[in-house]
Amino acid sequence: MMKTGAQILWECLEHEGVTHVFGYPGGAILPAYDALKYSKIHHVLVRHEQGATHMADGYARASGRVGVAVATSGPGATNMVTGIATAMLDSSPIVCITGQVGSKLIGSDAFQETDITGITLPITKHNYLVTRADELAQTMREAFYVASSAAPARSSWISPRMRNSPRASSTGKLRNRSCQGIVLIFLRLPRNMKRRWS
Amino acid sequence: MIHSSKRPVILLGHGAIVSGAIREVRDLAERAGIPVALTLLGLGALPASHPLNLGMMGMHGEAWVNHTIQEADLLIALGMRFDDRVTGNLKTYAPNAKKIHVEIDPCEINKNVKVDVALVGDLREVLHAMLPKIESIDRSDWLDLIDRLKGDSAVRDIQNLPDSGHLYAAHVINDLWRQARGSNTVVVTDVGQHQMWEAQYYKHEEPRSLITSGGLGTMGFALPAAIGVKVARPEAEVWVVVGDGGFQMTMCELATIVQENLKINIAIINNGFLGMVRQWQEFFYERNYQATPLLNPDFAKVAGAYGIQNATVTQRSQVVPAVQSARQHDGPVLINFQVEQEDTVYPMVAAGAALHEMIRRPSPIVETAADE
Repeated sequence: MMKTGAQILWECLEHEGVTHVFGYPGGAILPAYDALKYSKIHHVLVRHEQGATHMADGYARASGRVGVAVATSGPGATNMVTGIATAMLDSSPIVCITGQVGSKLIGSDAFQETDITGITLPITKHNYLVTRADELAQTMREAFYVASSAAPARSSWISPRMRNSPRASSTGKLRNRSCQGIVLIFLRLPRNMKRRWS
Repeated sequence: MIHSSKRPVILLGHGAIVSGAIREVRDLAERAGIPVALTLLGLGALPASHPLNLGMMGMHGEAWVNHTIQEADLLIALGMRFDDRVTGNLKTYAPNAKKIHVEIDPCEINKNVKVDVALVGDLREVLHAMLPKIESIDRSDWLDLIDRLKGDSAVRDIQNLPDSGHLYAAHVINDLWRQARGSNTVVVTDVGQHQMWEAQYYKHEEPRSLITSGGLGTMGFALPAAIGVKVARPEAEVWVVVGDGGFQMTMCELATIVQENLKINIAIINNGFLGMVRQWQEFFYERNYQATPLLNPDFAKVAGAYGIQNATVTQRSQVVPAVQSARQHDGPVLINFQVEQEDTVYPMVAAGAALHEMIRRPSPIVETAADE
C-alpha cells in the first residue's frame, strides 16, 4: 500500500503513543493537516504557535510523556522559538514538527521560508530536516527517543556548526546534552505526495 | 564523606521529579537525617510538610534556607544545576562545604560550582546504589541550629501581619492553597513576583503539582502550559496563577480553552505593574519606574467576551468565596485579584550578591509605622 509522508507522520505519532498534539496550520504543513482526518489523534487548535509549544511543554511536565507541537514553516516555526527554549532550559521533553518549503526552493528566500534548523540549533537537543518520506519513520523514532531519554545525541548527529554555537563556547566544550530535551523535526511535505512507502 | 559530615544539606532539583526518584530521595534524607533545600523546579519532590524539608533556596528563598547552605560543611546536589539564581555570588557560595553532585548531564559538572565528587547518571539509579551504604546518623544538633537560624523570619512573614484591609498576593495564594490542597491540584505559574509568592505560600506536597518556567523565565508561559497540563491530566484541578503582565502576552489562548471546553481556573494576580521589574527599580534604580506601570483591560470583561465565568476580587474576605465558587463551576473561570500595587517579594538576594546577604522584609514594627 502506498502511503504519503503525511500519513506516515500521523501513524508514527500514534505508534509513539501520542493522543494529543497542539498546533496551528499553514501552507507548508497543510499536507499533514489534510491527512489528519485519518488519524485518531486529537488536534488542539491554538491561537499562536508559542502557545502550542508551551502546551506541549506543560503536557510533558505534568505527565512525563513527550509533548508534541505542530506549526507551519517560516513565521509558524519562528513563533515556536521561545517555547522551545523554555522547554530546553527546564529539560522538558517535547517534539516540534514544522513544515518547510520545497527542497528546490530552500535557500531562495521563498515565501514563508526560514532557516529554522539553524535558528534552533542552540536551543534543541537535536533537530532534523526531513526531505524524503522514506526517512520519516526512522527519524520520528529517533526524535522521540532522543527527546524522552537521557541518551546523549550520537556524535554523528551533531552538525559541525554546533561546535560554534553560543552554548558550546560558553562552557568551553561541546554541548552534548544528555538529559531530556527537545527535538525538532522539520518536514518538507510536497503538495503532490507521490512518494512510495513500502 | 556523607557519614563524616556534621552539617550536610541536600539540594534537590527538577531531576528528582524527571527521574522519578521521589521515594529514594526521601529515604536518603530520612535515613541520614539530612535537611533538604529545594530549587524552584524541585518543589513537590519532597512534601512541603516533611519535617526535613526546609523549603526553596536561592534569590527568593527563605532566609534560614540560604543561611543553612552557607553554614553547611557538605552539599549533596541531586538533579540540580547550580543556577545563578540559586547560588548567588559563586565566590562566597557555601565556602566551607564539600560538594557532591549527582547529575545526568555531564556538561553540568563543574560548570558553575567546582565539586569534590561527581556522579553522572540517572538520579534514581544512583540513589538506589547509594542507599544500602547510608548509615543512620543522629544530626539533631545541626537540625536544632537550623531551627535557630529561622530566628524572627516567622514574625516577619506577611501571613502574620495584622489584617490592614489590604489585599496581598501572599494572602490570595495562601488562601487558594488552603482551599485546593489535598485534592489532585496542579498550579501553573507564569514568571515574576506572583511566581515567587506561589513558591513561598503554596505548599506543594506532590511532584508535578507545580508547573513553571524556571530556567528561561518565560512570561506568557502559564496560560498555554495549563492547557497542556489539563489535556494530559483531565482529572486534575488546574489553577493558573499569573500576573497581569504575563497574562496579556498569551491571553489569546483563552479561546483555545473555550474551544476545547477545558475546566481551567485562572487567578490573575493583578498589581498594575510589571511587578518584579518594578521591584528591581525600587531596590536598584532609585524607584525610577520606567515602563513598568501597566494599563490593563478589565480582565473580567475580557473573560466574559469569551463566555468564561469571571469575578473581580478587591478584599481579602472575598478571596475564599471566589475560589470556592470557581472550584464548583464546571467550566473555566477567571478571577481578577486586584492586589496591593507596590508589594515586594522578600527576602531577596540581589543579583551577584552573596547568598547570605539578603534584603529582608522590614520587621512588623517598621511596617506598621510606615502604614501610619
